[in-house]
Amino acid sequence: MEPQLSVSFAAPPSGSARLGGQKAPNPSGSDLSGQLHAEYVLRSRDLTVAYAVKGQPPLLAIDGLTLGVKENEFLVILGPGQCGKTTLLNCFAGLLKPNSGAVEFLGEKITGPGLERGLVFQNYALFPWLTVEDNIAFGLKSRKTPKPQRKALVQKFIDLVGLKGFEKAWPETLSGGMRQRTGLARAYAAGPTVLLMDEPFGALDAQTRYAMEKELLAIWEKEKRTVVLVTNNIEEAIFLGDRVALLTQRPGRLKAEWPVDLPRPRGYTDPAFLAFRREISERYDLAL
Amino acid sequence: MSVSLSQKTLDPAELRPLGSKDPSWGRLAAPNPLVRVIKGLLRAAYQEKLSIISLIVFFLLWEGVCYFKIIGPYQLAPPSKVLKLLIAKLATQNPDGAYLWAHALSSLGLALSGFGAATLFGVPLGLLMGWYPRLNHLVRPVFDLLRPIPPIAWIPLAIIWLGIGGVAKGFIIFLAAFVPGVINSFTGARLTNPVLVRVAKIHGASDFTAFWRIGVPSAAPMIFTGLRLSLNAAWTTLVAAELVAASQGLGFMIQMGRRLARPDIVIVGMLTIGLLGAFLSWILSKIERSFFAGRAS
Repeated sequence: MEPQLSVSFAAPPSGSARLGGQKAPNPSGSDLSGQLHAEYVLRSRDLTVAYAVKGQPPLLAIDGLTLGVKENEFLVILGPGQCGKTTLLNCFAGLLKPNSGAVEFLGEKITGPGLERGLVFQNYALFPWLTVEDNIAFGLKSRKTPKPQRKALVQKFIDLVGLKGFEKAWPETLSGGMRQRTGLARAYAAGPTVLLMDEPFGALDAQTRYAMEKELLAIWEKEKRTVVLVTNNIEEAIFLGDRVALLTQRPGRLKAEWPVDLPRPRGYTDPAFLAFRREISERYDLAL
Repeated sequence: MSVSLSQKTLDPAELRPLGSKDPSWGRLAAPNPLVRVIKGLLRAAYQEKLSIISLIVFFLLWEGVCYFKIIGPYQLAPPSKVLKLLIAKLATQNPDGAYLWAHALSSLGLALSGFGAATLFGVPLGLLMGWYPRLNHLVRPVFDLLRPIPPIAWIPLAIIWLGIGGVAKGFIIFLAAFVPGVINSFTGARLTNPVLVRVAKIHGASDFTAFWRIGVPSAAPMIFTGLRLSLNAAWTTLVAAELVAASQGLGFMIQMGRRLARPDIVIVGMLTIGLLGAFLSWILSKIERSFFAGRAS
């Protein structure tokens, strides 16, 4: 319960439409919200966040960051430790108030958490007292989705992430990969427009990690959402992202940005992949 | 000095840890596995027997002390007599005015109502204090002031306020059971993983909803710890509470035994209190286990 995180906003109720309430794009293609705030679903503008440290000047975590993500785009934010990645995601999630600048969802200032922005945690953050299916149903219960619909949706996402047969399992009995599948399904089931992922595979071993990266892309291809994924792993960034944004070490500033136009599935050893890897590595801060 | 691992002829002496003086180093712990198994079995049988032997010796000593009148019959009753009375008291009201089960039921009712009331108020109060720091700051000073006062010290005030009826006794037991209920629920709610609270907030939960859906279930193990300690406190305060004035109950039965100079009655009362207390804790742990069934930890 850090003081910065205890800011409690009233969560705006959002409808069942993917883009949240009245801002859903209408099927004819003339997207009103799109006209107003052209391309970005989620955006930070001159975002600055500083943490108070007792007896010392405030610690600047993010310094004037402007970064946006377009609809159904897979944005990877890459950076070394202490580059403010998690801070940025917390701002997007509405759990942290910026000191200056703003974070916007569809052009509107974010003032608190909302179901249109789902978060996937590095350490899964599953509820140990709930079974897999009840964990996944958590957001739907918050939305007060009627039971039959809820059941159908939960089953849909259980199938999607490949957890069929584990509906009644307790989180503690699952492997890391399966726990993160549950976390992913829980985020999906709440019906978000944007999925925010905070180093989702950081706690997994290398093999599981590769498998989960592939799995995530497969799920995302089936159920497209706008994704902002944070990682410190260059390979993961190139493998997953439509675009990679590189941040500097403390304070977090945008250092470079690359669109990744390699066709999927990408091979870790493709020459183009390796060339990308080399280019990014050269810009990657490695201050210890 | 260097030992090449590619050579398969290792001299154990050469690998002996620096400073080790154990001459058996490098050999099996016992020369013959069969000998080891037999030794192990003997050891286990010996330990089992030891527990039984100690119990037998205890009861024999007790019986002997009474038989040889080392302690007089008005000070101590032998286990044989205690057992006889325990069985007889199921069917007779003499000489303390009630059947044993009537005493037990009366005491159980008293302890459980005090415990129930303490749980009903204590657990929610503790949980809310753990969740809302402001409430904690508000209640804490008074709570901390009253907490170290032993429940028995309340007896005189309880009599002045509530008379000598069941309410006064219930009040004493309530006080005893209240404190552990509050403290453990408080700690449980306090230790809620903040990340899980964040998950709830992201799913649009208000602070109170987060308390209800995250704080309470994550505090559940600590709540149960509190319940166990509460029950314990309620039961151990029982005899003291029944000192207030009673015409029934296990505490009353013990008092009567003392007044009639009948140590067997006293000991039957004590034994019944002990057994019932163990039984209550067993029931609670059963409930706890069924509550957490399936959850690995």
